[in-house]
Amino acid sequence: MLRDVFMVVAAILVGGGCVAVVALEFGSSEQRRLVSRPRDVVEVLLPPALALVLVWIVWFDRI
Amino acid sequence: MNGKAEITDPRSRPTGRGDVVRAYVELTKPRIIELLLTTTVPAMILAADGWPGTWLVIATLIGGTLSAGGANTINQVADADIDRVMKRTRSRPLPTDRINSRNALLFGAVLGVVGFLWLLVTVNLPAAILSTLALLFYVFVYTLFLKRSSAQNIVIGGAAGAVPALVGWAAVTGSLAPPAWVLFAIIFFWTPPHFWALSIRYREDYAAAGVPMLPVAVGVGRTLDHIVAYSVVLVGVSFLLIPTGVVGLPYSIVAVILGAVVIGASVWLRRHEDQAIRYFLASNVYLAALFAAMAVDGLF
Repeated sequence: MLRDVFMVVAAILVGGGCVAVVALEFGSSEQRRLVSRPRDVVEVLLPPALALVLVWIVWFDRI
Repeated sequence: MNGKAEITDPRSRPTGRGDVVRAYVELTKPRIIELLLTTTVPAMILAADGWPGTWLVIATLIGGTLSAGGANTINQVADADIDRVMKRTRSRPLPTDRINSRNALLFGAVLGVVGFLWLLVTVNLPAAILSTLALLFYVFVYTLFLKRSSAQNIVIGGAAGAVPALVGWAAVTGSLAPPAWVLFAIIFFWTPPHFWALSIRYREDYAAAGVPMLPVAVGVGRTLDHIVAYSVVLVGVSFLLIPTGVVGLPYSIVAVILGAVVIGASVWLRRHEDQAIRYFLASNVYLAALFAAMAVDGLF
């Protein structure tokens, strides 16, 4: 039960944080100019993507 | 020119054997190694579901110290030009000419090779490979590729500092499992807010050296927003360890309290940007306390 509660809370925090990170990077035209190269986009999206993959792994792997 | 000032610096030019030894030790950045090792032992305890054995712990820490020391030394060789410009780093051994670059590079490479061999002989192959991959990633991906060209330098580059947790886990089990990746992710997502706080304090230094740290690239206000967002992800990731089943109630309580503090502190920092160094120092305490809680939970 405790583990399930923390799983859900963790997923919400990680998901919300990742949305915030992506919004910060792409939310304004000024900001989008700074991530104009494909390389920048990959560098910005990689950490949130890794976090979400980890949530997915733990979700299906949990005891 | 900086060179003149450095030659007259009392710390320049080692005069005795003790000074030389001190300069080489300084090259390895012992304080950073200390923090890296803080994360290795709890990972070993969780992997073993108890104390993994004193010899294994000592052998892993020695190997980790050698590899991390090698990585830090080679990093300082590659960054010597930046370190000469920045106030925070200009008293390091290379900018003050206490050691020459060739000797420092050789020293770093020897530490890296000895670290690999030590872990291979005394621990296992996966730990040796992971430790050496971290060194190579830190030097080639972070220092040589990202640091001077990307505002995301510390985000991606921070992966190198997260590997000691994987090394600790692999040292015990010979493989990696989901909890090990959660430990990696905790350090990975802790690193950007931690170093962004430092770079807010030293942003003029970084700007002068041409290093595009986030406060230099997007300004302090946007950086503070990033610190909040990454802190939320960090706390979420710290909670992910609980469903993996390797920790219980004691860790859960500590993670909730520390999580509330770290998110609260990141929000507080938005209104007190001049207190960035306090946040930076508190963030060290956060990571150490979180991993200490894991260790205690794993032992008892």
